[in-house]
Amino acid sequence: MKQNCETTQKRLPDLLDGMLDDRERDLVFGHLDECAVCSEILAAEKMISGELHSLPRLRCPEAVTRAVLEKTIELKRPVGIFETIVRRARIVFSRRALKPALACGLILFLSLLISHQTRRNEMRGKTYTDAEIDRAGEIMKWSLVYSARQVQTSERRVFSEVLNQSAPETIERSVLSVYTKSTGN
Amino acid sequence: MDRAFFQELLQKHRDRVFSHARYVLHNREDAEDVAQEVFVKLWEHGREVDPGKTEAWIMRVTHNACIDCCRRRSRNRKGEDRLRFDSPEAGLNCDDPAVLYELNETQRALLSAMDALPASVRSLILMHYFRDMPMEQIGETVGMTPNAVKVAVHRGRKLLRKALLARGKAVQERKVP
Repeated sequence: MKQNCETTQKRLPDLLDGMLDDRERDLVFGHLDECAVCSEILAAEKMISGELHSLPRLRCPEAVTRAVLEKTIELKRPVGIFETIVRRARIVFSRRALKPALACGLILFLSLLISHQTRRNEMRGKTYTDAEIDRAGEIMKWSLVYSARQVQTSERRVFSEVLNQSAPETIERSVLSVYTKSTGN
Repeated sequence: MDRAFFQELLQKHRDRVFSHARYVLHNREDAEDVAQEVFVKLWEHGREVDPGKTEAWIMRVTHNACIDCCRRRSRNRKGEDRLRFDSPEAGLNCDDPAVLYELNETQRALLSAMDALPASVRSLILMHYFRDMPMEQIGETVGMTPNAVKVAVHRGRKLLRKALLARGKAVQERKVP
């Protein structure tokens, strides 16, 4: 069965795009062999697609690339202190990572809170006798006295060493007289 | 968006975007503005773009930017004479003579005939023929059904064909005397 002009012309773009099956192609070519008008249209279609396909690819001016870079990756803007700290510390802060980070932080905070509470309850539960408390007080007092004595002894030693080694004799004498008067030795 | 990836995309697609805009808009300055707009948008919305569909996204933004530019232009430059690619003055006054030099006579005639089509159809025709995109892909890119794209391209092509045939006749008539 032969096709008419209207059907053939509708199918010409598909023919050029290679979208027709063998049977349809045969029908279209069968009509084209006999119809000069449709053949002329096919030739024009071929010319249009060929010429548009071979349009030269134009080079984008460098000024455009430069302007794009200045408006994008080289854009200068004021930066807040928080962002500066985050950038210095090289912390990646993306929108996608924000929610998981907040969730992790919340879990960590809750676990710390729970452990602290448990420890406090444990401390509260412990009990002591009066003797134990007195003994603890004694230990603390003697520790403090011993520490104070150690400081006094070491200070005295250092002072005498300084006098013996570096102070002039006159100063040494005057200092010693003042010291003797004050202590009564 | 990652800086290195953005620069890679810019290097890869800038000529295509510029060429498409240049042929749709027929004006160098407008094409430059569109190319800038497309890549600045890519930088701003890069996170939302699927890495596998970046090219389609760029093409869609280019298509829409060209249509917007044409609308703006028709508002701002009403009554202003537009230079045709095939006008005798084009070679002397065109904003980019290098482009005219590279085009052959038929291509100039086709681009001039395309001027009568709406910007959206010009863009679809160029996507199909110049960018070798199948109808389905064009439809996916610009948010139309493949059939709607086919119909629009078919109408545009019919007009171009008429323009070419008229031109052929005119050339023949000029040769006869």
